[in-house]
Amino acid sequence: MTGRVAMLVSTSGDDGGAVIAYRLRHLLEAGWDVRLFCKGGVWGREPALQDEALRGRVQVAARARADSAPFQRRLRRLRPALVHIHSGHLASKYVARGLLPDQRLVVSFREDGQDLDAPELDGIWRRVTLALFPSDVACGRALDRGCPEERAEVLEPAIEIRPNGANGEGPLRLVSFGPLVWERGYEHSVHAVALLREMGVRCEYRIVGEGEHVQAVAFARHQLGLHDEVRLVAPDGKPLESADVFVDPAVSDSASSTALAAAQSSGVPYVATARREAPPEGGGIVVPRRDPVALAEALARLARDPGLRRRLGRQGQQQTGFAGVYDDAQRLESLYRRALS
Amino acid sequence: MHLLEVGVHWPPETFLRRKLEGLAAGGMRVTVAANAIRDADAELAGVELIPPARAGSGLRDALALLVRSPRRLARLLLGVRRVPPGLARRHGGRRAILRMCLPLARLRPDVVQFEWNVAAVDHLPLFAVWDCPVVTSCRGSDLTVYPHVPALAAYAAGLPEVLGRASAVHCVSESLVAEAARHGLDIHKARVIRPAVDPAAFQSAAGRAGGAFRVLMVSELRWEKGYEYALGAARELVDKGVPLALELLGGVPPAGSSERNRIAHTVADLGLERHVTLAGAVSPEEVGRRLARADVLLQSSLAEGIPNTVLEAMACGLPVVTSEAGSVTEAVSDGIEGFVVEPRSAPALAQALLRLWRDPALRRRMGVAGRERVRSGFTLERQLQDFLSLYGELTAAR
Repeated sequence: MTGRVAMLVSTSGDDGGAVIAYRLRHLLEAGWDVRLFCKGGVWGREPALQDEALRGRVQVAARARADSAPFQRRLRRLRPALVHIHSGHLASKYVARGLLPDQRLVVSFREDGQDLDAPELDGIWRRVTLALFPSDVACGRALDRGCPEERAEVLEPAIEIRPNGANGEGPLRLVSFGPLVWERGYEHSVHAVALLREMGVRCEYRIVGEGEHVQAVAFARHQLGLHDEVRLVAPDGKPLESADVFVDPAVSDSASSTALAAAQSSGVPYVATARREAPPEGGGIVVPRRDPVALAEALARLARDPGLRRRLGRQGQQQTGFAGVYDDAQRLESLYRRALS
Repeated sequence: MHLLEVGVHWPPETFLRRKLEGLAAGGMRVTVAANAIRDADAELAGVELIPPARAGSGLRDALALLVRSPRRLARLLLGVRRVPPGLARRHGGRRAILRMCLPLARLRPDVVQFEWNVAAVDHLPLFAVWDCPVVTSCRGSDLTVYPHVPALAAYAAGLPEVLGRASAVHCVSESLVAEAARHGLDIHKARVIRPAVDPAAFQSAAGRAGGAFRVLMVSELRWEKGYEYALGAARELVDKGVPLALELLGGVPPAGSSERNRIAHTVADLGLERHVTLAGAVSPEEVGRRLARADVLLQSSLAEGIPNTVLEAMACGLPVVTSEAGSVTEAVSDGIEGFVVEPRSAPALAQALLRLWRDPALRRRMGVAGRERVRSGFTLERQLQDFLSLYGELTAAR
């Protein structure tokens, strides 16, 4: 069973543009008539939504809020069978005004529980067909606040994998994360970025982490003239967001491979150095340790072949069995079916 | 003339020891205000020691200064109040900085010398207290590394003030003058005085032929020395059948470092256990003896000024293979006294070493050229004379 679906997003929701775009494409391919309603600003500039496959499917109101009269008129004209609101606060406004009397309603709540403070929470619980939470913790919090258990579902968040670069435009976005210690070998990956630049491959490299080896890494960035390309940032909780490739230049088996597993599970392809005990298989390219040239060549290959990046990302995801964008979209579709049944 | 040296370890590094003992032997009164004691029993001929301030000494020192020179105390308190929050945090608060500075505020030297800009930034409140010229030294990492490290932002912020307020700025190379200018130095205040060695203190290398290819590295075990690249080069040489014996002389720096672990891991990871020896720290005399037995000195640094180790090796008549880091080309010309290769390149280091392994005559020629270059431009005698001239000019101009 498929049907007409209206998604409403606001800036207060957790789901990013690339994930929303992936869901839209997946649902369209599966035969759903799906539209996205969003306001201008951040959403209007979202590159993932400029995809040709989504032409005519994204309704952007230049300045209007997502609960304003123009939006409501468009929604009424569309007559969707199901409305999916990606924010508890936004859902609260629609419910308070009785704006969606006939539709099945799906509401996505935030991980941090902030939208459980929405003024019409009880109204949402009465009205909602399905309430989606990004984790068991968030779901438990909502159950404590009166969410009916039979309507609560966990939809683990997909990490954004932006399709930027798929058409060869924009710099390749690289990320590494983990403590800044010598075992991580970040000086070699920074060196590889310098080699990539010499090869004419544009890239941005974020190293997320803190640690005693920061001096050496910061100096490598300075010495190689990479202030524009390499950023050293403190852990931000979403290291894989907006990453095209995960880089693991570890020089020791003792460096944790958790970050690599996270990248695989998120569908982000990797370039990693070989490990003696548990060499990473599938989902990326393995290169020798302490070899910036090999790192750069592997990254250049991925930069030039977006299809390879996608294939490797999917492979990694399938091997680790975690939820990524592909699983996310499939699961969402099944939840829509359930809501309409 | 009374010279006060501030912010060095006790006993100081070998090159500083030679300078200070040389100045003392030349008739200068030399006092070292140490910031850390490694060996309390160590003695330097003619050099006095002021140990670091002890916890709990602040009130007594403050009262003593109040009695002797209330104006100095007022200036110091004002200076400490102006210390940026980031720098204060690094020292455990403004009170800790005050406690560190109080014993030095009552001194009345003719010249103050900071051998490290890091120490100069730490003691900035004293610049307004002393009524004498203050000299600070630029040696390499203080300009080329630390200002680019996010965690040392407080130092980077204080560096231009130090360079601006110092009466003169000693740079160990011409290229560091240009680097210091980027941090706000008026180049007219700069004085280039290169590092130096006493050529007579070093034996000429034996110039052996046959046997193992003995390569020596001498420096503290710090990441700036680029050991990983040297070990990568060692692996390449071994793969090419060279009977390499690489010896690493040097200890862990007083502030600590995980570099020793990295080196030990890399040696094992590259299967070099039979070819690499981590000998630890040895005495300066022992360094000289080991240099005399080696075939080549290897320097794989990522950041440097002009390393004393390179000069010592050249004084021994050893060819040098060095990465082009910092100012090393002001002492070594590529193809003359050794080979200068791009930094961060194990293959380039390996290729240079291989050439020297295959050509003993080239090693000898380069060794002779190196010894001659040290004799003509890097003698301790000349360095001491340059410092005496600098301090003399500054005190005469008061």
